[in-house]
Amino acid sequence: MAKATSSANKITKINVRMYRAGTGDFFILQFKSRNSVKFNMMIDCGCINAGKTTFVPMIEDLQSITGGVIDLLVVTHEHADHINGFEKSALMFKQFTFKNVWFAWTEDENDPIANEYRANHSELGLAINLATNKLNQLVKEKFYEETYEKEFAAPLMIEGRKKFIHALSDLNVMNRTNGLAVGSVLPSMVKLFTDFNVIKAGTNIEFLEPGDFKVDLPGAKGIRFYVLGPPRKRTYLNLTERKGETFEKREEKSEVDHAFVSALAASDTTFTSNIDAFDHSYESGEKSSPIQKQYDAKSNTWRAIEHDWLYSAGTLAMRYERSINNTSLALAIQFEETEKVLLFPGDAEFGNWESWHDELEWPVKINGNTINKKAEYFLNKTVFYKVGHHFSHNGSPLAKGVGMMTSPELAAMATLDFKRINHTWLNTMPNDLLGAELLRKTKGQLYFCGDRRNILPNIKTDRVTIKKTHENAFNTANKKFDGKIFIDYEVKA
Amino acid sequence: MTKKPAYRKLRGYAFDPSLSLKIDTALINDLTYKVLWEENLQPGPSGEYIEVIDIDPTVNKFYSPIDLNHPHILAQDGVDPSTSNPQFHQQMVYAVAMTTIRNFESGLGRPVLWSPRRIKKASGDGFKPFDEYVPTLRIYPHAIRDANAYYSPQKKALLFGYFTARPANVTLQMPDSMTFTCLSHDIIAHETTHAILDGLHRKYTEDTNADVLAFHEAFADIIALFQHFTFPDVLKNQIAATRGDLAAQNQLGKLAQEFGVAIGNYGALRDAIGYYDKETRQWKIKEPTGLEYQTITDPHARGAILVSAIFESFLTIYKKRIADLLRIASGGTGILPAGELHPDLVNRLAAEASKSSRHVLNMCIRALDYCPPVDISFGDFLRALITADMDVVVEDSFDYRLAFIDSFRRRGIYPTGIKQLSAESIAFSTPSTKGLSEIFKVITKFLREYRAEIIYTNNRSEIFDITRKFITGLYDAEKKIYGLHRRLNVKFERSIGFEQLTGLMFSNGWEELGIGTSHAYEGKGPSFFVQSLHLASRVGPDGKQRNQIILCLVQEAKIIVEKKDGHTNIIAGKSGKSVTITGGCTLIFDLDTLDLKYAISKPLLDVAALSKGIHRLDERRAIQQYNHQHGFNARDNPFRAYFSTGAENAFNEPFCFLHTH
Repeated sequence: MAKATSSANKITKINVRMYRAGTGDFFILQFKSRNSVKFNMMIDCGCINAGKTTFVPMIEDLQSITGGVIDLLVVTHEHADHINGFEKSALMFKQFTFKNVWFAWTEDENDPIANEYRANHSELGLAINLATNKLNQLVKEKFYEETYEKEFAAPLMIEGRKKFIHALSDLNVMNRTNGLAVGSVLPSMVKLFTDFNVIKAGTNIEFLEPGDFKVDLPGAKGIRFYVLGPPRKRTYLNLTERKGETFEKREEKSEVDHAFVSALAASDTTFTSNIDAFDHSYESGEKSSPIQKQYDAKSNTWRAIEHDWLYSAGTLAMRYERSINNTSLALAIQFEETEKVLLFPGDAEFGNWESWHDELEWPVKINGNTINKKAEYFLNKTVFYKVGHHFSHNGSPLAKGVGMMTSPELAAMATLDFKRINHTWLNTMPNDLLGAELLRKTKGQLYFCGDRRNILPNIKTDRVTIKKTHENAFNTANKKFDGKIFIDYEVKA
Repeated sequence: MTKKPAYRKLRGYAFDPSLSLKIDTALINDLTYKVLWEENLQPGPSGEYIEVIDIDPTVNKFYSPIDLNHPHILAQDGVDPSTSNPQFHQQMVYAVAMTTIRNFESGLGRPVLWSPRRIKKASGDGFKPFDEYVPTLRIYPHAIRDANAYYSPQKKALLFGYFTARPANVTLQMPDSMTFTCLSHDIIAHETTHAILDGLHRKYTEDTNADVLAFHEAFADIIALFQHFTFPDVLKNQIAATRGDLAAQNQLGKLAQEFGVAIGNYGALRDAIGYYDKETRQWKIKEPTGLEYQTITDPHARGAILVSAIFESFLTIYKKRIADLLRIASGGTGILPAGELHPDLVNRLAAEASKSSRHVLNMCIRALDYCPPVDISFGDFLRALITADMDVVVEDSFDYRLAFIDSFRRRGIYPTGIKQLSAESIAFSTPSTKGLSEIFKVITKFLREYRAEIIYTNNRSEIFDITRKFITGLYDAEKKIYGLHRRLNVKFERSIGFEQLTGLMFSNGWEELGIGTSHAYEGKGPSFFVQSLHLASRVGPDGKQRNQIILCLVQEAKIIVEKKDGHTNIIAGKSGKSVTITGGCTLIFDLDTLDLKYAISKPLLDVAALSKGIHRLDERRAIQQYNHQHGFNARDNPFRAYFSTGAENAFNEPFCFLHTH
């Protein structure tokens, strides 16, 4: 009867293969019933600073194990370290068939909130790009060497400015607006993935929202997919860190900083808008006052502030990057029978995680009864965790994230690789506290995209302690894959 | 002839413009600042201490400078407060910055000098540093488009930002209207304080331990807060609003906190004062747990500990000062009659609150002279507070000192190296100079000559020139003044006593400790520098004047700390990976007798080993500084972790970073 046939093809294990291109996500999950693959699920394909050839051997491997047929592709969010593989290897992906592609609701062009969000993002991104270019121009023109010429601490001052600009440029690498005309809006990822040959005629596209769930997809029998994020509420999308709880500020910066953004846009000659803070009658105009002469005097250039306002792009760029991280499509993949969960949060940051716990509930069928469960349930049941945001501290909240992962079977994979990374990211990745906590919880079943021998010393800082047995287990587990282009981890139902 | 006016009256906001839009706060938001009359004030305003330059580089425009001497403006105490008139913005920053400067001058007992600009001066084949006098602090009221404002130690300038705001209450304010940080009293006072503090203690911009930057932030916030509370009109309204509530001090805490949170990260430091109870919706004072100081490392949150400690001391003092008033008003019952408070009582209470604030403000400012020149910790600040107060106020009739010690203790802040927590043991003691007569003869001679020149001038640039001359020396053919540096290097060979006093190295063998060699003077010697030298003259409540000369010495060493087989080794000397650690000492002399009163030291040397004749670095301080510079703390602030060049480089706009999260 029905029961017999349904259990026949039921998924009994999932093999997670993490490709090791560098810092960036590229996963293939093969859902198996006994030993035959029933369902191929791909999550992202990207790596920061990757060249055209970086992905070639991995996509060849992907082709050979899947036969070029991907049942489900999940694109978590728009950052280059998650999607640039599709662009760089568009020719290779042309040969692939993608049956289903899932995006977050933020990519839905029929969703007015998503469109507004994208328009805001485009404006911000453009401003950051302009500011970054202007600052890099200063470096090129040796502006700082000239300005600080007389200062005793000139070398340190120049180094400080250059480091800042370099770090900003590193953030800007992820900025998709490069090359976009001021005033225009970025294309959604649907458009982008059509251009990459991923979405073809016959590809089924879906936009997912928190609370959504999918059961029994063709081929994935006995597996449930739950959508945790990205949140619909803007307060969560913009939340990258916990805020103080006492008083609400009387005045918060607006989400798109119009003052800063419009001034930058106006400095690009193609665009004009009403950007002045004051009525024109207050301007000193042609006649130069003594105080203005004092400002302009050559001996006073060390005190001038011509370009200092551009440094505000630093905060903005960071906020921008992180709020895009918050648009990550976060999924919990569950084995129906054993309730075990594989958690793929993309690069979700604090607000995204926080929103899972708010109001939302998901129906879970346990022993024939449907029970509404909160996010904590899925975290409790997590046996495999794709570490959020390349092991930075805000990609994995402690209390409402890792702290709730209590399964003794927990294993984790992190897409952090020193071989290919933006140098400045190393200041925050890997986070040592998170590393120690995950090593403890997984008892060493923690895998890194990059070389374990380089990464571990960066986790073993003075302020954490790591058990020798966990460290040994970690080395044994990772060692098997030394020199290989991927790491496999099998999750059994 | 008509007498020159003592003050220039300038209208402004007591808080910031947003409060003028609310009917219940509009009244208290109008304030007329009384700014010391500057005779030669030019349009800008540009005066002796500050020059306000209103250029907006984001749109490349200059706004016409205000002429505060224009008869129309003089006749009406400055232009009308207004957000849309940049000339009012110029007036507001001038008024508040000058008020802050004035408060510092009365606390310190000397004119405020900005930190000098350190430029290159050709010397032999290379360069040596030369401190150039910076007469004025620049204020740019519209410098950036961001919810931020900061003091730039490089430019000796305050940069204020403006931004489009999303107000919490949209019924009050148009969304996306411009908000100006230069119109907030607290922000202006805060930034001006950063600049003044940098002028006093240049090394406090260097992030050498978890307290240093936190101290800079907290101190700036304390000044802004208590300066506010010195205006009695601001307080009257709130005190009247408490009615029969005897715990009126709660209202002050709420006021301090609520009005501090206008913009961006400002006022975040006051979060530690209190909170709203979620259930009762009542504002409550936050009780410290005693673990705060040990567990919190982020500069902001750490700064908040200091702010709350000082605020609690203030409340204790205020409560004590009004106890009698409350007894009188309640007929001894402690229960006030229902209904509104008698206006006379409100006036008296406000006057006491204002007086308490002024005292706290003064105590904090005075304490700065008693702080070590480098690597300050909150415990050092407590010792400085108590010592400074004991010097000026002989009789502590309201137990101010106890109030401070108690509130620090309740947060787990203990000074290191004291035996017990009493005012007497916390205060620095006068060190013995026995056996050091040879050296002190040199110093006394030096101080006498310095005193003779400095005592008759009030001119800031002359003070600067004379002081620099005495620090570095003047080697003219006609007149020779040996710099202190040279005198010390010549005389101090093998003087362990002086090394014990200062914790700094003056003997041979300095190279082995990673201390540089100074060739600048005849012969070779361990490199150290005189960070500051000044004369302070203060009047206590008993009317007596205390005059002192304060001298700060700083020395640096380069080291690496290595961990091997569970042992921590310090390897001295400059190399690719080495970091700079600092030691320093503040020496305070009585101006009249030229006797040494205090030696407040952050030793570079292991002082205990010195008594056995061994010269080695203070291991605990060296390792602590090394670890700190390896930046575990920076990770707590992602913005700083990502963009800053680290503790080694204090030239990367440290305050801009501090205010950005």
